[in-house]
Amino acid sequence: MSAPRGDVVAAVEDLHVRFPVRTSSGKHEVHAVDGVSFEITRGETLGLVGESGSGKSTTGLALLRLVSPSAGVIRILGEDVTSWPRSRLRALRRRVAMVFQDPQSSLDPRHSIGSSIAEPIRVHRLRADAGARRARVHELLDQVGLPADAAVRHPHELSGGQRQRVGIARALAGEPDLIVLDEPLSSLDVSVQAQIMNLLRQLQDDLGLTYLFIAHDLAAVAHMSDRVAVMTSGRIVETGPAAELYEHPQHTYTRTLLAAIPADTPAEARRRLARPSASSVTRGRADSSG
Amino acid sequence: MTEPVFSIRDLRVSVRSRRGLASIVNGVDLSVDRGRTLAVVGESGSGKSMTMLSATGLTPPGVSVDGAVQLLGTDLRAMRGRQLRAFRGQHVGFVFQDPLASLNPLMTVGRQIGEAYQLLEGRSRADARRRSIELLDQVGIPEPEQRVDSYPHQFSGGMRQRVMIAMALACEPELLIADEATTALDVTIQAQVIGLVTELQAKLGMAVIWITHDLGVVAGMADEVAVMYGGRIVEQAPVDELFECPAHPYTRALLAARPRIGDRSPLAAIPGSPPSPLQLPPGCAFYPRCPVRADARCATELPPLAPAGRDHLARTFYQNDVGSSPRRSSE
Repeated sequence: MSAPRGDVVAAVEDLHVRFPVRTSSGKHEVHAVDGVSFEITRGETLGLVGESGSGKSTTGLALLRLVSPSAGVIRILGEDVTSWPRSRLRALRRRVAMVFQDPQSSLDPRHSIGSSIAEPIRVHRLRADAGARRARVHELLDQVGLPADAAVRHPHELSGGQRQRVGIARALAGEPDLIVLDEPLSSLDVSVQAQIMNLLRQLQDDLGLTYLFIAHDLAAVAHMSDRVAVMTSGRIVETGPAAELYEHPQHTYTRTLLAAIPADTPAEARRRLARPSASSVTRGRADSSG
Repeated sequence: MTEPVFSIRDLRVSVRSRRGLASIVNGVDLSVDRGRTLAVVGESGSGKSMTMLSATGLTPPGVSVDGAVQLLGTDLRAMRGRQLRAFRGQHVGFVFQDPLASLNPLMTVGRQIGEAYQLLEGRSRADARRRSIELLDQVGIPEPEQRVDSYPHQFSGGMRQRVMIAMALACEPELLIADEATTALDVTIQAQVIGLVTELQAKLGMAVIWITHDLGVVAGMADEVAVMYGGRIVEQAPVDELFECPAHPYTRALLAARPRIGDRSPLAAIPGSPPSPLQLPPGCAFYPRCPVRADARCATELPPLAPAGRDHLARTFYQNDVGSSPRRSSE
């Protein structure tokens, strides 16, 4: 984490990801990511927003090489990692960490919270001995707002919000250059989501973290991100500073998406009804089946 | 005043498990009139879904239910077995979160939509098929004559939820209960499904109970809102009143914690997490997380659900600041 603010941490150029699928009509390919390009600079949050099937999560997974790009280039701190051999993937996943949607299924139920958080420290050989590792685990627990005795607990003893804090501590453990946050709020109770958003923003300020924040919730993305990229059908259709993009959406899809956000207040809902747009009942698309 | 379509009095639901007695619903009163939409808002463990499932007799065995429930003036709790299923089937439609879990993968959607119509209304199979096509058309599915013979997997998530709504409407119910019906859907599809339900409600005059965790969804479609926490209603009010003058610290905190587009300042987060039904606090269930703690009694005594304005009830000892919004006006 030595590079100064303003450096390009991740650069993605013309990324393609294709998955083979087998259906009754034979084998064919799904083009999950279809020519995506973006850059993320140090200390910045890039929001990646889209609906299910837009390719936003696949893009995040590709940054850690958890899926293989079919074409394109991924650079982390200027280094082309697109075709790094398997033996270097561990090094890549130290630089790029991930926080998943459901901390329940991303934590091993048999491991204590302390050993889950210590795992990346051990794997990446970041501390010399068990004592130093333990001290680092306690530091991380403190950073994510968990008490020190959480280290001896197991995932089932924690609430959903606490488990997500553990997921964040694990991601921080390797001192990554980039953290991919894949729908980190969607399994949490509404009253807990704000806690996690505040924590993520606080950690970013304190530690100079860089985020790719992937979510379907436009209000959360607006709150978290400096810039927002809107994705649909494997492509980014619009990118811009969050405020500008929400204020003056250029692409039709962005406008549709913004119009579909539920109104904040009953008064706002009535105002929208007075000038109907995407809120009116539309007949289902014929192509959306299958 | 006419009688409400559906009313619940002092509903109590509990489950005894290895870990102890879970008090899931602890005395809930609710009612909804013809043509009106009541939103029941709550987080996980608030008891919102269990209230509706147990009131309509859909609880699994081992759950103990107490209280009075009236549907169209009939005592629903006195009914059992086949009689209950027939009565409920004719008068209540349900839409749940996951249509794939509610639909039979081996039956065409047409057969599933028409099944209740055929059985409960004593119609022929041909009538049921005609009715299915009509309903598919009504919920906005293109080419209903063809799609009636499709299987659930041949529909997208949003289309499947439309199929569920068609199924719920088959017998022209007086009450539609939608439980997190749009939670699994994309935001653009969610807007379509809400629009569809609102439109059908205006056409058919049914009462709607919309169960959700999402206050945002509620703002645009509810007439009245009941906020649940720890198995009780903590606040109930007409939708405008609830958003403009929330009286309970929990409702105020929930409204204030939402991110707003154009404002990146830190959110007013609520500390902690919702209480477990296995260990409800003795006083106000929100006390451990409450930023106000207005009264010495809050920790030990359960506040009554008391008037806090016109048609407005709140279960709190904190009443002095009612009327001032906790957040800036959106105008």
